[in-house]
Amino acid sequence: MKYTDEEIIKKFSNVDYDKAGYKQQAIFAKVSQKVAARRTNSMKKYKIIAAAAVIALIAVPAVLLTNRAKYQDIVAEKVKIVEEETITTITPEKEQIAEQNLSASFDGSKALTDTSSMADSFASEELYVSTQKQKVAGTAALQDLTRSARYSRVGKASMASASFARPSTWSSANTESSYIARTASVRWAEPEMQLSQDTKAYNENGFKKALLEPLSTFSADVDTASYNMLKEQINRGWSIQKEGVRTEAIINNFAYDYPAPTGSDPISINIEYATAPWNEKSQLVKIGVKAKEIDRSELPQSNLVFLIDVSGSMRDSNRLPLVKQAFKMLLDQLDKDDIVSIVTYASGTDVRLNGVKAKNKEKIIEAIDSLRASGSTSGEAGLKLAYKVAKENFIRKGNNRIIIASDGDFNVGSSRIGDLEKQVSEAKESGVFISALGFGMGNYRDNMMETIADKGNGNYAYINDLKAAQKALVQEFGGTMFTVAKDTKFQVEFNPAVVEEYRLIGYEKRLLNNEDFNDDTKDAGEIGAGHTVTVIYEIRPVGSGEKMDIDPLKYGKTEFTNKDEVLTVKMRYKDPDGDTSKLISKTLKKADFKTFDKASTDFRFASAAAAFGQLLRDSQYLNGFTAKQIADIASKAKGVDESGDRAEFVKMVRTYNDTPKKAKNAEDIAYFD
Amino acid sequence: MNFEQVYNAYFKRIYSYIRARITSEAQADDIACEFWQKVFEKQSSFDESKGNIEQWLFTIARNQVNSHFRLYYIKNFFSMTDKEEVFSSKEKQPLDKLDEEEELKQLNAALEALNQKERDLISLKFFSSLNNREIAKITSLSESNVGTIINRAINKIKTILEDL
Repeated sequence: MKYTDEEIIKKFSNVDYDKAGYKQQAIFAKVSQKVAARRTNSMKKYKIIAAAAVIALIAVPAVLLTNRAKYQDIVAEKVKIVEEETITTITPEKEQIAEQNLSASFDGSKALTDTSSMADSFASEELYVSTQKQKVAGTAALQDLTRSARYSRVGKASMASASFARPSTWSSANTESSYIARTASVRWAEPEMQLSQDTKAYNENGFKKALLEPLSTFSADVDTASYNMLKEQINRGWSIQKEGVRTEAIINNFAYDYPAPTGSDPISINIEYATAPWNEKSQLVKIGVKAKEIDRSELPQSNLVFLIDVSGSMRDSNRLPLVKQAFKMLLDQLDKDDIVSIVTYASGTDVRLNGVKAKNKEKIIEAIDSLRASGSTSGEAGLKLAYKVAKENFIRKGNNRIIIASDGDFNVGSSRIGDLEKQVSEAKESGVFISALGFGMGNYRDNMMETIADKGNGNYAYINDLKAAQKALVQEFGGTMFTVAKDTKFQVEFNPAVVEEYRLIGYEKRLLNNEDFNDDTKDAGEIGAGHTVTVIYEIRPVGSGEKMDIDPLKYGKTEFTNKDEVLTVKMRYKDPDGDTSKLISKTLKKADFKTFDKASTDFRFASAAAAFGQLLRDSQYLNGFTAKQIADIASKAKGVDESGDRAEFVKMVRTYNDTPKKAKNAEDIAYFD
Repeated sequence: MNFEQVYNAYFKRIYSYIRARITSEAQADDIACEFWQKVFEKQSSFDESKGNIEQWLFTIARNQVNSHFRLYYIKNFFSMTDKEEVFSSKEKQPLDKLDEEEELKQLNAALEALNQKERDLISLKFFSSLNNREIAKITSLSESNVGTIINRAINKIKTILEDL
């Protein structure tokens, strides 16, 4: 249809955003409400200043008269009261009440406007952000005040004004305009978005020439923590920290249907081979490993030490309260004869429970419920104590394990990763394994938690909500807890007669030297009961016509053997209590090749997951493959998807696709300056 | 100045401007709210000798919207309501309103495709009924420049609507 200028202009003038004048009334009501609220607030501020001045006038001479020691006691007490108050001031109940107040205050305008339910969730989100902001600001101000109170003579007065001031800032948090709250959320969300500096940057694996480097060696990995963090970042619309994206974690987050191992081996190897979705000239090889399932009644007895971080940083609702719920879930999974201990650490360390049988559930729950967050974080001492408790309750041939729950912020003692690493690997020799559960998003140190689990022969999971807790501690209970193969290493040998170049997708931080494969002293990944590990290679076959990254060789032409084979996968693993490794292997034949459409749903889904990881990491090998294409492939390859994880992935990729990445163009940004 | 009088006289034009620049209704409402609050607080600083009230109001409104976008782009902050909001009230609409909905949807798609400068000028011209000279004053662009950009934007919209 063709339009004239006049028709376009007419279209514009036909638009009436506020036909009935509802908006005009509603917004007027809101504005008057806010203007009024602001006035009362400033009145309150004057009152507080006046009160503080009066107190200062009375308090200063009083302080001068009293002796110093007595004064210090008073201040210390006051400081304690105020500190406790801050901790309890903003409780979930209060947040809820405030939320109700807020929505009530909007009711009037809501009746007039067509506010959708979206607006409600928005209001509560803003409220959450502004209370967070108040919390942070309040704590910081309080710290300043307590510090000055300890040394200053007018301390008492300023303490008093601090406790007066809080309720007023609280109420202003409710009445501040939502726009201010929104801009505040931008400001406050920023530090949260940044992963810790300890998250080391690394580059994606490039193509290697099969003739030059036929071997590719790496350690098996089943951690999915990075996936949960990613999900949270995308769903909140934050920019993605590409350093934190681990493609193998995305691929391995999903259940793939591999046949269980038969015979004496605890693991089976399954290979599938088809065209790459993002480049029809190259091919993907998917290697799937499945660990045997363990019948729950056959599970060895457990000796679990919950090492819980109760430092001040754990106070947030998605930290300690979630830890408590997660451990209660885990408790339900335990056998009555399993042994549970609880060790906590903050400024000091404490054994809350020592070797209590799981059948005394109430006692354990009571201990969990009594945990409160405060103080600094002495992770090192906590870990030492936990190992001591674990050894006291050691069960021979049992599952002796410390489960550490923390935001990973070890700010006292040996907080550098290297020291901690050494400590954990030394302690591991004693037969106590360690699993890590990461909580919280802000100062959550990804690298730290991963290192602890890695060196301690355990695995780790990032837990951001109850669903993740459910997945890690209930659904995959066996996997998180019971290692069926330890120090599992992969070595793939490519046949240069068939494969020109290959590249390993993901596993960048898991690469091993080729000679490490047969070296049993080299530590590697663990595979838990029922778990699967999936690895994807992209290969450029000989004669594909694709431009290779490495020039053809002029010398050293060799006669190839076994021209019908593409590659051989070799795996080494140790039994959980063994020291010598066992070898299993499987060969992929050229004849097993399929086109992408003919490949299994598992294959297609896994390649979508791999593509998404690479997309987020700005991979140079995707050929402009888009998030939309990825979502389309994934949504057609959902398969049975009992857990709904695959559907959730599709939704997440679509959300990512719809999120504006940056300004449409540079001109737009410049226009606002 | 009498706040209530100014409010009633200019509400519709200012509101249309904000809505035309910001696709999300909820966000536009918030900004409108913030805008009028600002006007209320600043009313004493309005100086008639420096320009008329219309110019004053639109300058504040533009700044309000621009600072919203500036934060939006710099922090890459993503609001869940941004895209779907426009169509979310569909089921509440009676059938005869669907055509209008469709029309609005198309128009929004066209506005989205413009760059911010073009969208700003189009919003000022057609949604707030300012003429080129007034727009030139508010945006500190030359009058002929304003005309060129608006022409270009209309042509852009034409091709987009034709493609739909």
